[in-house]
Amino acid sequence: MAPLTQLAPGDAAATRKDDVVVLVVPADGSYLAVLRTATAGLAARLQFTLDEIEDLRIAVDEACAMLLAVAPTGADLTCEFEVTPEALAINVTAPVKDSAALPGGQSFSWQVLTALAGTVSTETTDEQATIRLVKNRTNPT
Amino acid sequence: MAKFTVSADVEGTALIVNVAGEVDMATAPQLTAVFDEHLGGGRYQTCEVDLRRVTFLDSTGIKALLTGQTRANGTGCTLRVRAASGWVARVIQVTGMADRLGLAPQDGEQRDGAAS
Repeated sequence: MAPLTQLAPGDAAATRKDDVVVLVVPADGSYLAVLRTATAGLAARLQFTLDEIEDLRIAVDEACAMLLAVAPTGADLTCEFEVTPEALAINVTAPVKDSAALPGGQSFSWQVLTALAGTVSTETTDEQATIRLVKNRTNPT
Repeated sequence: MAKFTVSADVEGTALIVNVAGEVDMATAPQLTAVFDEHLGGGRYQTCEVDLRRVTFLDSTGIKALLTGQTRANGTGCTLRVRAASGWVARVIQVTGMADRLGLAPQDGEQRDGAAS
């Protein structure tokens, strides 16, 4: 009997340009584990080293936790992974409650995030906040 | 991923808090609750938080440990962590809390196996 499914060639997707993976989860701490697992899986697929994978896993967790602290109940948290030949860029976005603000640069969250992520930037508007992490691929395929 | 658990054992005047699994925004309140339950009465001289089975710790977990330490210190009890491995030790180090939490210098040298 012919197989019902066929595996794609291993490097077909990896060599495509600008793949985007988007995960939208309820803005609730119980989904952090899911986002960490997805981050690690994607990073492993892009052949980041074990150290880099763990750094990304922690960095995404910290970025998401920061946004969860300012997101209103019932909101969604969006985690967008952009894969380019040079880097993995991760944009985490959530709506922001009235008068809520992201923690300051001296907070533990920021200390961990900036120590472990490659490049970190934020963009906030009246309605939402985005934290962007960029990790260069040192060993692109 | 390992399920989060936390339990407390008494050894003489020491409280041993055993933590396992992933400590994050969702689970850290359970750790804080154990500190609140046991460290308020001044029964212990030391509290050791055993992290050997912790597979993930973020800044929320650091804050929970520091909250527990503040509570312990209020009753003359010393709180420190032990057996932190791999990235758990690294997160403690990058927040600058290694000395305050009594992280042993050899903790975290072995990073293998902590990526699960």
